[in-house]
Amino acid sequence: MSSDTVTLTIDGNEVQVPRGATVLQACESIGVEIPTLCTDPRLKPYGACRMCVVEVQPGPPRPTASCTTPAGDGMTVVTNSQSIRDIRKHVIELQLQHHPLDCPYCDQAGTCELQDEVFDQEIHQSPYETVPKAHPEEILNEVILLNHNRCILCGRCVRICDEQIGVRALDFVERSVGTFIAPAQHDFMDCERCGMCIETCPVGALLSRPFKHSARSWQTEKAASTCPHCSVGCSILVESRHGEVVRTRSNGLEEPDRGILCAKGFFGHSFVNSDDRITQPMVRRGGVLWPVSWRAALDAITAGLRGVLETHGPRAVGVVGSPNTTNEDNYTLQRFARAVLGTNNVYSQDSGLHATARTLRAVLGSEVGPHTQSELLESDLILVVGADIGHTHNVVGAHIKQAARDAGRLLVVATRLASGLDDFATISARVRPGGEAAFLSALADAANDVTEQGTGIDAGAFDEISQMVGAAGSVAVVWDTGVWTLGKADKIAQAAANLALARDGVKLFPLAERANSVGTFRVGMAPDLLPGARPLADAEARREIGDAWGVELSEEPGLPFAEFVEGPMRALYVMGEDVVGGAANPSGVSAALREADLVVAQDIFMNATTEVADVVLPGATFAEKGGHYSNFEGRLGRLEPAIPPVGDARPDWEIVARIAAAIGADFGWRSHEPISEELASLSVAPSISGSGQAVSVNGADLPTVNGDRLVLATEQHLYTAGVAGRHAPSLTLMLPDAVAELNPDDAERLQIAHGDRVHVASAGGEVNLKAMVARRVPSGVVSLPDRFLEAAPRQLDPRSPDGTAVRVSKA
Amino acid sequence: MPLGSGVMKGLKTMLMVTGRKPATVLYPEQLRDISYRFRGQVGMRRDEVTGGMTCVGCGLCETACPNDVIRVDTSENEDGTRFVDRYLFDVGRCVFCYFCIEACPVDALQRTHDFHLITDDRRGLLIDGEKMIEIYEHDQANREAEQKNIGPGAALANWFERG
Ligand code: SF4
Ligand code: SF4
Ligand code: SF4
Ligand code: SF4
Ligand code: SF4
Ligand code: FES
Repeated sequence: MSSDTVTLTIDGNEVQVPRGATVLQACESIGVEIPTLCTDPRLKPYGACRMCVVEVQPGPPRPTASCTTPAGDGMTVVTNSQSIRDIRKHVIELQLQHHPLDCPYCDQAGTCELQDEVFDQEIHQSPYETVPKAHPEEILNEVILLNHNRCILCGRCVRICDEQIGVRALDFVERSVGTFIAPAQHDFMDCERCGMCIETCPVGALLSRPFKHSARSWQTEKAASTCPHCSVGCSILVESRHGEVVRTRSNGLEEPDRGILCAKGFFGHSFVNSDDRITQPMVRRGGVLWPVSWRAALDAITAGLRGVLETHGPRAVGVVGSPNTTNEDNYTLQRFARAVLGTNNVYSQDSGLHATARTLRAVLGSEVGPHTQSELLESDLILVVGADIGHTHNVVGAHIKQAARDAGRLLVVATRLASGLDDFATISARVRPGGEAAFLSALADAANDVTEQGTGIDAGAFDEISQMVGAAGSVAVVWDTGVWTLGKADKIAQAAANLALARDGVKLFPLAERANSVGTFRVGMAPDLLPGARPLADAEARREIGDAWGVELSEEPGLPFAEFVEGPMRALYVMGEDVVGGAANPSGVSAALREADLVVAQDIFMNATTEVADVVLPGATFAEKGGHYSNFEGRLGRLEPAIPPVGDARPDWEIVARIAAAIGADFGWRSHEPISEELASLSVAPSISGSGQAVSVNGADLPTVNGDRLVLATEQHLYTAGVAGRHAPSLTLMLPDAVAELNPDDAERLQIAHGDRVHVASAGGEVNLKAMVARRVPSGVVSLPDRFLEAAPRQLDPRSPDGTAVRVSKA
Repeated sequence: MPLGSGVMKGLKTMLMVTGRKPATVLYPEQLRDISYRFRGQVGMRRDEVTGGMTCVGCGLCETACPNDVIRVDTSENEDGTRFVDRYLFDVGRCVFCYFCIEACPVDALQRTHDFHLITDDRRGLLIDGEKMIEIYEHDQANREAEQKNIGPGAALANWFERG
């Protein structure tokens, strides 16, 4: 017998388990069922409920909680004696003292662990006088509700918020029989609203307000899918009833989410059944969009495309894919463009991921997502730069917190705004918006003397960080490539690459902004790329892919998007993207689209592009189609259709494939599976050797801050999720308006109070917003959440609003 | 067989039957006697406090029904309680198994003797909670009258049933 296992006897059966396992785990390993109430596989053993009691010999002659007792050599465990059964029954009966057993009325019924026990133990009511608590139901915040009568004080909510989320928003209050659960700091629970406390609560005590009373848990149809809101790609369980998504929950403990979600994953599904969805095809006649049949819409599109192809040739046609749609959707659109229309004008809008990926490929020869999240969390030192990933990629942020606390990783947080990660950081410092690249570059190159003026970080803190990074065996550099990196993503990537070149053991983790940003790159949604992100210039790749498609692919790359729009564009097919709203000059693009012969916009909500489109088609959301997203690691997240598409909406790939068929190229696809297979077979990773050249990135001269001149930071907020998020009532409840967040000192100096309207003006534009005085914003910075009202920060300077100087005054 | 015996047989049968109560009734002016255990349309009790359905929207009847007859849609009331937006019962599919009545934890669903399910429009078979209350209350009112002209067999059965 080796020393890392122990042998014990459970109900007469000998069992061997690894040392350190609990008696409960030992029992489970041989299929002996022990009832538990306070155990959750995500949490450390706690021993609150005493349901799991067993008799253990040798040991004190009393029942022992198996969940907290380590299995020992030679133990004899009895799990099911009469006295044990009596104790368990008694535990439940005591719980029922203030528990109403109003299961027919309770949202948890059907998934309630207490209900199961009551049923198993054949208890019909408590033998004791039941005493309901004084304040049965308490509203904790916009989305969470606590029913004190039903709470069994298992502490799972308190522990998950602490151990897994790192927020510690809930706690036990009072003592003894008076104990109850309450927000730890205020009456109003201003936490991250991840819903994981609701998820772990074994009973109907913590409840989701948006879901409350809308369905019974056993009536819903369940589909295992992937969260559509960011590139972490958490797996979720989509529950629907009568064609309506009623809730989403965490699904399984596997990577990348490891069993937790953020507010968007748990509450952000309600856009799917929004009344604002586009539900039928529309064609513009006389300046107005008219609902038409699919046939009429397809006819209009095929006639329009044929006309443009005949008169202007394929160079006048372009297609835009989207990181909001699946790999299969994008691949179908690409094949349609390159093989059927004969154009390489293939695009996809993305904040910074494509630029980052190109830079890393050119310098290091590495692809996006070369490393997994596990590698990130196993690095000796984790360096988070730029945007607060607690907001942009919340679940990765939560895992980093855990790694720092429980696994002893060094955590360096060099974000622009104060972050929830700071509490777990070995050292944290504030970078000025605009100084991120200079900071990374200076870390790479000791000779490159960092100036406080260039990065905003004071020299002392920088030296400390520099030493720590130098001394660590392995370093993970993590940054969000979201909207704030517009116009500077390549610089930041270059600076990060410099660091990777300068020393061994540095791994880079650019976090893509949207669910399938990485997918659009890998599928090759760019004028000069092919599926698998192989360069179009690679003749071998062209031949292979052309053969698979049965065509000769043109080697002439498409034009860059802006040039195409201003130049030869006569027809544009846009799938799931707002090319006008997200453009560097919205009015210019809008005018060009109006001029074009045919603009097709296929989307789930109306936006600035559908405003000028000739044909609008109803696309499907993540809950209505199959396919895959590629997350930041390149891992495929599977979508499973949960409900039929609303109205006349169809999966995006299907619409494109039908148009291709109408033009005369039937791909023969009747489901998304053959597309996934074809894409996988063509996605041969190109072998590209990077230049290996460090290019020194000069610190831009940061704008000076004085008086009413502040630096603008535009980061995605935890509760914003693009257009979809604005149509999800549960998310807009959490952050109803676009706000300008200000440091209390600045606010006082500018005489701006919380809730005032403020006027933010830059050289390029101005915008009026509600002010929010927030400690997370360092002094001298004003933060506007982008992707909320996409227009808000872009009205100031559409190209790269982040890091510019703006004037802030009371409106 | 002697001539005329057929006539006698017929006469005998006729005489025997003449004294009996007829087996047919002039429906719908007249109704048959109904056993207490007769399974008619499912009715709904009115809640004395709210005046609406007694149903709390637990969905158990919907779950218990083997035939997909019932649909209960609920949402949250202003005071945080559960509100039954809509209770739909598709009489056309119901097999009168009464599993729903068995399942209902608040005895909202009730048996009735109502079998007048004739309609000239299929859509009339899809009834809501209000209609079910109406059916139940109408049936309650009829019970008294029904008890008076009940046949001896049915009366005995009812006596056993009620104990
Ligand atoms: S918490 Fe569980 S046992 Fe209590 S009322 Fe709800 S379903 Fe029933
Ligand atoms: S929602 Fe999340 S952050 Fe808020 S209390 Fe629950 S577990 Fe904590
Ligand atoms: S609210 Fe739920 S999870 Fe929290 S202690 Fe009570 S029963 Fe446990
Ligand atoms: S971290 Fe991203 S993928 Fe995960 S639940 Fe949140 S928004 Fe969804
Ligand atoms: S079982 Fe009774 S209370 Fe529950 S939904 Fe049906 S009628 Fe309403
Ligand atoms: S499961 Fe062991 S004490 Fe709760």
